[in-house]
Amino acid sequence: MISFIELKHKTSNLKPIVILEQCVNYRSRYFLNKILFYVSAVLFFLLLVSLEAEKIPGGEIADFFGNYGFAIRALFLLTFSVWIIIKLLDAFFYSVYYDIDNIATFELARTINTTNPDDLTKSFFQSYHGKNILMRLGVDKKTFEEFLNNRQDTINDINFEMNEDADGFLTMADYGLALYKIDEDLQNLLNTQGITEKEFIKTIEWVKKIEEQKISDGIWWTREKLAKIPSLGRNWSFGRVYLLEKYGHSIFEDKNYHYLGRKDKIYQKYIDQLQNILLKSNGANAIIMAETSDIAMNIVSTLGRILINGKINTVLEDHRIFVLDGADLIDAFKSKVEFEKAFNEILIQADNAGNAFVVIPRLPNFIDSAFEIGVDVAEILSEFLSSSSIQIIALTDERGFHQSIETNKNLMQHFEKLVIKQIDNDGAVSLLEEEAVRIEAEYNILFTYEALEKISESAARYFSNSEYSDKILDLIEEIKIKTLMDRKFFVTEKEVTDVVALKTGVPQGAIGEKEKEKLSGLEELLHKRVIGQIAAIEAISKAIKRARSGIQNPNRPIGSFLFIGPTGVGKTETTKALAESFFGSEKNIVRFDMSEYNSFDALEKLIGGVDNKTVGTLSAKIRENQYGVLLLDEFEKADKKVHDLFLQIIDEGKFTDVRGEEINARNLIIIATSNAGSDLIYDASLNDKDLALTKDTVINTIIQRGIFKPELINRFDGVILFHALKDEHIAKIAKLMLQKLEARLIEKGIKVDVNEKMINYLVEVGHNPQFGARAMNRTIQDVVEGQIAEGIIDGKITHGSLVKFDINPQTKELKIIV
Amino acid sequence: MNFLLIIPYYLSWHYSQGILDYFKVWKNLVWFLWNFFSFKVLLKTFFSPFKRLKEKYAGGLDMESLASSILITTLMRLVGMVFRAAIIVFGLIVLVTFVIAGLIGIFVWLVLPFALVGLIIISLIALIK
Repeated sequence: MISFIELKHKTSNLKPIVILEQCVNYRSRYFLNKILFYVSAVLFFLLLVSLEAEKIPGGEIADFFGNYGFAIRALFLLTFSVWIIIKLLDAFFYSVYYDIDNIATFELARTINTTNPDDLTKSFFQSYHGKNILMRLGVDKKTFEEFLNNRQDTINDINFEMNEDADGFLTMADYGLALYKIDEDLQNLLNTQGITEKEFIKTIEWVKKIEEQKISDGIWWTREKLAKIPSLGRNWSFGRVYLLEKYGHSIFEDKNYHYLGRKDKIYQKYIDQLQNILLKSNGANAIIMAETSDIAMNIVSTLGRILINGKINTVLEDHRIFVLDGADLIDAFKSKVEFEKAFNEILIQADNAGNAFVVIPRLPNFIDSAFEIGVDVAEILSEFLSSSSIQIIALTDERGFHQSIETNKNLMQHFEKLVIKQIDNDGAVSLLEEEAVRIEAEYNILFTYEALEKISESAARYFSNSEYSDKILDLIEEIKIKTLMDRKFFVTEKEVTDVVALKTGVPQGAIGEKEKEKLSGLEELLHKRVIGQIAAIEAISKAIKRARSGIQNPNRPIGSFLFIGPTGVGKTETTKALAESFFGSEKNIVRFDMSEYNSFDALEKLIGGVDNKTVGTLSAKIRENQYGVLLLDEFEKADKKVHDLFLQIIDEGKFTDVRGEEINARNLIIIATSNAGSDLIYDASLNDKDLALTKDTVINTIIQRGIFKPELINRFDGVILFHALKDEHIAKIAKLMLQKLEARLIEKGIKVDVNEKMINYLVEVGHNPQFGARAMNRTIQDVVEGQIAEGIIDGKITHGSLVKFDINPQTKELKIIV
Repeated sequence: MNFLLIIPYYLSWHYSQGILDYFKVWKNLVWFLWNFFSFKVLLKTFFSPFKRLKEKYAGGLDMESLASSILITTLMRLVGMVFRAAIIVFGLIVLVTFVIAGLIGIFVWLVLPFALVGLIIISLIALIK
C-alpha cells in the first residue's frame, strides 16, 4: 500500500516536464514551433535580399534595407534563437517523458501535481486528463456538479491509499481505480450513469492511449520511424515478374489494402507467425486458413503494410508481394496446354525474380476450376514449392481447406498452416478505440467509451454476415454519418442503439416513454386481437418484457414458445399480434408449414442438400429476415431430425447450414404451434377445468405419445396452452370478424349494420368447438359475405347502400335486407 | 515564475542525459543513411545484371546465341555497376559529411544554451537601439 505522499514522490522524476507543460504546454509548443519556423524563414530570406539590395535597380529597395536591414537581422536572430529554444525544450520533454527510470506515467504525474490534497476526487476530474475522462464516460458537467454538491464525504490525502502494481509502474488507471474503491459517492455516480468499474478503468486507459499517441506522433528520429523511408537501389538486384503483373497485382493495389491497414494491431500475432514460416530456408510456404478467404487476405495485406514500413525481419525486407488472379488466368487460357504453360511461366519468372511472395487467394477454388479444364494445379505448384527463391502464400477458407487441400498429401507437405481466429470483444473494443480517435481527428464528434462497448456488443449480436472486425468498423462508420447528420457532438450509447434499432427493427437501448407505455400495455394490446386466452397472453407478455429489458441470455433467440391448443383458438393470431407489437409489423413473420417437413429429406430441405447444392429454405429465409418472428406451424408433424435441429437453434441461437456457414437466429422470436394433446385441452375446457392444473398432464401425455422429446419441450422459454373457445369467446370473435368485414365494405361505400341478433345467430350456427374461430370464419364467409357478394353482383347493393340482416321467421335463417 | 524553475532542471539535463540523447539520435541518423543508400545490398550485388535482365542461352553449339547471351548479360552487368557505383559514391559523400557535421555539432551543443541567451540579449539590445 502506498500513501498519497509516496505517490507524489514516485512521480517526482517527471516534475520538470510537468512544470514545463504548465508554462508552455505541448500544443502551444507545437504551434509556436511552426510560427517561429516560418517567421525565421521569411526573415532569413529578407536578410539574404538585404545583403544584395544595392544591386537591385531603383533605389527604393536599397533605401528600405538601409533603414530596416539592421532590425531584420536582429529580429531574425531573436526568432531563430527562440525557435531553437522551443526545439530544445521539446527534446528535453521527450527525453524525460520516455526516461526508462520513470516509475509513473507523465499523465499521472501531471494530475497529481495539480491535485488539491483536501479533495482528491474533484481534483482528479478537474485535471487536464480528468476532464477528458469525464467526457469519454459521457458524464455531463451538470451531473458532475450535482455530484460535487451532494456528496456525503470527500477523499483527502490522509485517507487515501492505493495498491502498488505488480510491475511497480503507476498509471492514471491505477490511481483512478484506487479513488473508485475508496470513494463510495463516486461509485454511486458511475453506477447511476450505468458505468461499471471495468468501463471506468478502460476509459481512463483509452484517454491515456490517445495522449500517448499524440506525443509519439511528434517523434521522427527513432529507428522505427526512420525505417519507413524506402531506401535507394534495393530492387535493382531483383528481376521483374511481367506475367504476374499481367495476371495479378501487387498487394499495394489490392482493393482492401488501404482499408485493412486499420487492423494491423489485431493481426500482429499472426503476422509474427507468418514471418516465422516465411523465414525458414527451403519450402517456406504458408497456407493461411480463416473463416473466409477474405480474412486470410487481410493478413497478407497487413504483411504488405509492414513490409513497406520497413518493420520486418531484415531477411524479408526486400520482398514484394504479388496476388495471382486465378480466375483471370483461367479465363485467359481455356485450353489445358496453354494454361499449364502460362502458369508454369508465371512461377518461373517469380522464381527468377528472387524476391517474390506469390499469393494465391481461394486456392481450393483455383484448384477446382483448373481441374475442370484438366489441369492439376497442385502438381505444377509442387515443383516450385521447395525452391528457396519463390515463396507461395495460399489462402483458403475452412471448408475449402478440408475439402480440397487437407486431403492432398503432396501439397500439404510443402505448406505450413496458419489458422486465423476471429477477434474477441476486447480486441474489437481496442480496434474501435483507434478508429474513434481517427474519426474524431477528422470530424467534430466525440465518442464515449460506453458507445464503443455498445458497438462491439451490438455488432456481435445483430450482424452476422461478415467478419467481426468488418462489422464493427462498418457500424462505427454508420454511427459517425448519423451523428454528423443529426448535428450532434457526443456519441453515447443512445446514438449507437438508435442506429442499430434503425438497421434491425429490433427495439434497443433504454426503454423510451412511449415504448414503456406500449410494453406495460402489451397484454391489453394482445387481448384486443386475441379473444379469451388470458393465461396464455399473460405468460407471453411476461417473457417479452423479460426479453426487452435486456436480461435474457444473449446467446439464445429473443424468445421461444411452444403454443399448444386446438385449431382456431388464437395461436396464429397471437403470433401476428406479437410480431406487430415487438417488431412493428405483421410482415416480420417468417412462416413454415412444418407438415411439409416430415419426409426423410426434411433436414436437407431446411438447411440445404450436400449433393444437389440446393440452398436450404430455413437458412435462406432466416438470412433474409434476421429480425422477426419465426412461426413453425404444426410443429409436431415435422420429422424427428427437424425437431433436433430446432433443439439446437433454441439452445444456441444459431445453426450451421450444409455449406458450413453459420446462421444467426438470436434476433428471432421462435414460435412453434401444435395441436398435439388438444383432445385433453378440449376435454378440460368442456369440463371448465383450470388449464394451469392440466398443463403437466398435457405435457406428460405429449411426451408419452412420443410427439416431442422432453428435452425439446424443456428448451422452450414457455409452453403456452390455449384452451378451447366457448360461446362467449366465439361471439366476441364473430363481432371482431364482422367489424373487419365492415371496414372492408366501407372502403367500397357500403355500410353493414352489425347487431346482436346477427351475432347470436352466427354463434348458434357456426360454433364448432373442434375448429374454434376457423369454423366461425367459414360461417361468416358462407352466410354473410356470400349474400353480400350476390347482392353486389345482382346490382341490389351499390355504393351508398346500407346492408341489414335479419332472421327469416319461416326458415329461421339469416337473410339480407337491403 | 514557474518558467525560471525549469532552467536548472533543463541545464542539468542538457549536460548529462541530453548529450547521451544527442549521440543516440546521431547514431540513428547514421544508421538511417547507411540503410537509405543500401550500401550492403549494393556492394553484395555489385556485379549482378541490372534488374536480373539477361538473355537466356539455350545451350548447344549455337555460337550466335552464346555471343548474344554473353553480350546482353555483360551489358546489363555494366549498367548495374554504373548505377550502383553512382549511388555508393553519392551516399558515401553524404554519410561522411553527416558524420563530420555530427562531431562538430557536439561542440555546438555544449555552448548552445549560452550562445542562445547571448544571441537573444544581443538581438534585443539591437532592436531597442
